[in-house]
Amino acid sequence: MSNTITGLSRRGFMKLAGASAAGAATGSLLGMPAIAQDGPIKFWDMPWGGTTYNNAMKGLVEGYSGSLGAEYQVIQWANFQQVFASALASNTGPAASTGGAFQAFQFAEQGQVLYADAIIEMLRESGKIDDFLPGTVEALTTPEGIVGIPWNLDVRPIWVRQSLLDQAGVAAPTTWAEWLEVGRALKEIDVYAFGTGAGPNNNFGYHSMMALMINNGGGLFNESAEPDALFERNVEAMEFVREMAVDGMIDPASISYSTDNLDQMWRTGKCALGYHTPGLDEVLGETDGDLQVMSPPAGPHGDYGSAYYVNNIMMYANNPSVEATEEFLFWYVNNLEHAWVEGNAPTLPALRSVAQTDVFQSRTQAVKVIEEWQPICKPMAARAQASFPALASIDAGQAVTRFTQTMLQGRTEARAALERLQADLEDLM
Amino acid sequence: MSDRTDPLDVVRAAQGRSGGASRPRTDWSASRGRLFLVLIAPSVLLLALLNAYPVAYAALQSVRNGTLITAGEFVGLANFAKVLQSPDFWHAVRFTAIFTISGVAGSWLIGMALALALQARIHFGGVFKVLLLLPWVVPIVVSSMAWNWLVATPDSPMPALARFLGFGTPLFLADPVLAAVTVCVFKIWCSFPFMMLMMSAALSAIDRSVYEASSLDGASARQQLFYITLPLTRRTTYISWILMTIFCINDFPTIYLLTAGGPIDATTSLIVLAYRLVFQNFQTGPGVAVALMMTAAMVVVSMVLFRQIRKSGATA
Repeated sequence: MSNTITGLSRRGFMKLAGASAAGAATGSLLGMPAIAQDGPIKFWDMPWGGTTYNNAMKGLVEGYSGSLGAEYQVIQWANFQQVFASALASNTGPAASTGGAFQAFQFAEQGQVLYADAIIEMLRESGKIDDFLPGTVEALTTPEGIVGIPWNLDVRPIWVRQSLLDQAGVAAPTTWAEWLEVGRALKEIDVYAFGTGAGPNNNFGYHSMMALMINNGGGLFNESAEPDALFERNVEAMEFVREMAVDGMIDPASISYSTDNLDQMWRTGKCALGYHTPGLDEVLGETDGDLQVMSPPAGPHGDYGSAYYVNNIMMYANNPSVEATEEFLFWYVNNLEHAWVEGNAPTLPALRSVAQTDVFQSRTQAVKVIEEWQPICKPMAARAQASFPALASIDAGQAVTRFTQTMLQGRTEARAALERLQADLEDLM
Repeated sequence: MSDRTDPLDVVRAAQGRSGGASRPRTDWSASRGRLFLVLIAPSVLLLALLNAYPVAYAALQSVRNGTLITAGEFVGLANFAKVLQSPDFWHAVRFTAIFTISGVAGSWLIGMALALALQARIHFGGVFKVLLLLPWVVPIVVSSMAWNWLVATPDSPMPALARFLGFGTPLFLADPVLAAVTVCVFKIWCSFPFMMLMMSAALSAIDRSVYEASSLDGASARQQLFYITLPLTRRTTYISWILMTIFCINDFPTIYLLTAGGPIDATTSLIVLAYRLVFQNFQTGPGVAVALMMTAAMVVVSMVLFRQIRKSGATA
């Protein structure tokens, strides 16, 4: 029997289908030319503080009276990298946005984000640049340019539950050695001295490891931004974690804790110390003073420090007008107070003027974080001179999560775990 | 030869065409072919966009070193070589095999047992069926939260029960071995209602007189199960195995919502590994290579099982 049916052979049919698919695929891969956006300026923002925050910022942005105007859209954190990447690939992305801390580094390298040097220059000329907290603009500076404008800070301070310390008859530790002493006392009352979690969507465990390394003068990278996980101070810091794990000061189940599990641990008084966000007391609804931000402890060599993210506002290559977008961002930065005063943003501001507002000053613990922790914090790129694009894939990725879970388990020598991490980092970079 | 008028000649005459000199048949066939092409073009285009395009695009990505945004450069089969040399890949293959085999076997055994039990006439049989369907019906986000509440912390109900019974405090999600077991049990729990439905349908198609005749011949319940029930339901069994194999290999949310592939990669399956490579490490080529190899594995498994279906059809 012939395969020819009414003039179209089966092979011909397959060719037609294949040609359709291949044509479409090739078109995508070759990359369509960027289609310049028409106005208004599309600004994408993340849910930094719930609906109050986003409603306030929507009102602010849509009230912008610049030449092109501006429109506001909220992007959820879930899979935000895919959302931004897909939008940029299809030329439907924003002209400017907030987002992940290392997003701007990554997209700038790929030519999708424009360097913000011109806006920084506008801020310098207006004197606004002096309003930024020390180290924040520097944290976004690369050899090629400044990738974004800092606007909020995600610091990792150590929290303590004072009532549990009182119950154990100890004071908040001021050194790592004291931390171990406090841990032993807390263990007597069945309370953990290092509350953390490394389960689904919980990065506090990884943040804690980084904070401790930085607290000890370490960091995962050398000055040239190459992986250097086996730096001796890192080994020392991770041995400290291992000692706590082996001595039962860390909940053995914490390696699988989600953020909900961790918050529940704080809520039920199962842990008395641990790294968390600057707004833990507000998240748990306990602002009566029992939950307090501890003063930074000294590492074994007298170093102080913790990890933080400098969240930034970035400008994209696909925008209706570079000048108009820069003008919008200059205006936006000068009105950032709105996020805290009207939007109740729970994050920490990168601007001194916002930190001085009555609204922010009423947040006792957050003020302590700004005053005592922010000045000693370093980005996740520590000890490198500047952050770099590969951090977007390293931060909270598989390699650091696996490493954190290994350390919290307490069964592996610090050096062995760091060797594996070093190999993983080299692969990613 | 008939002298009757050809109806087509009448039509052609009415259209003012000559009836005596008809067009060659090849012209008529070609115009019909063109019409056919025009008619199927929308469907072909739709199918190409929905099915062929993603596969073709993925295949192209697997031989490039691109990211989510950039296409990258052609690297040949380097991504496949890199993945095949990675211990993480083989670890994921092992867990995927365990997850799939336990998921298919566990859900089929429980589903078949319940389907057999529900054959009996019992009061409120419909209510039981609805209740048994709940794990399949409830959104996986909700059920994973419920399971997290049941097992995540030492004070959760299951560890507390184990402690009460003198088994210590098992860390269901924190111990790598127990986490793997927990994820597999969770999958079986989610999937057995599907198997129960499939096997119930197959069982209801068996003529009751076969059982009555075998009873008269003195067959025991065990003999009826192995010589009547299982052979007569094997086509459905194979189909349900194929479907469940595909469900298990492709199952991302069950694993990711409960353990995210941890602790220490103990529950990282191939689909979770592919997700991490593409969306966390931004290594699109290796991630897509993993996904394509998964597809190939599923095709092989499905072909083997389809062959079994054909055999069972031939012998039935």
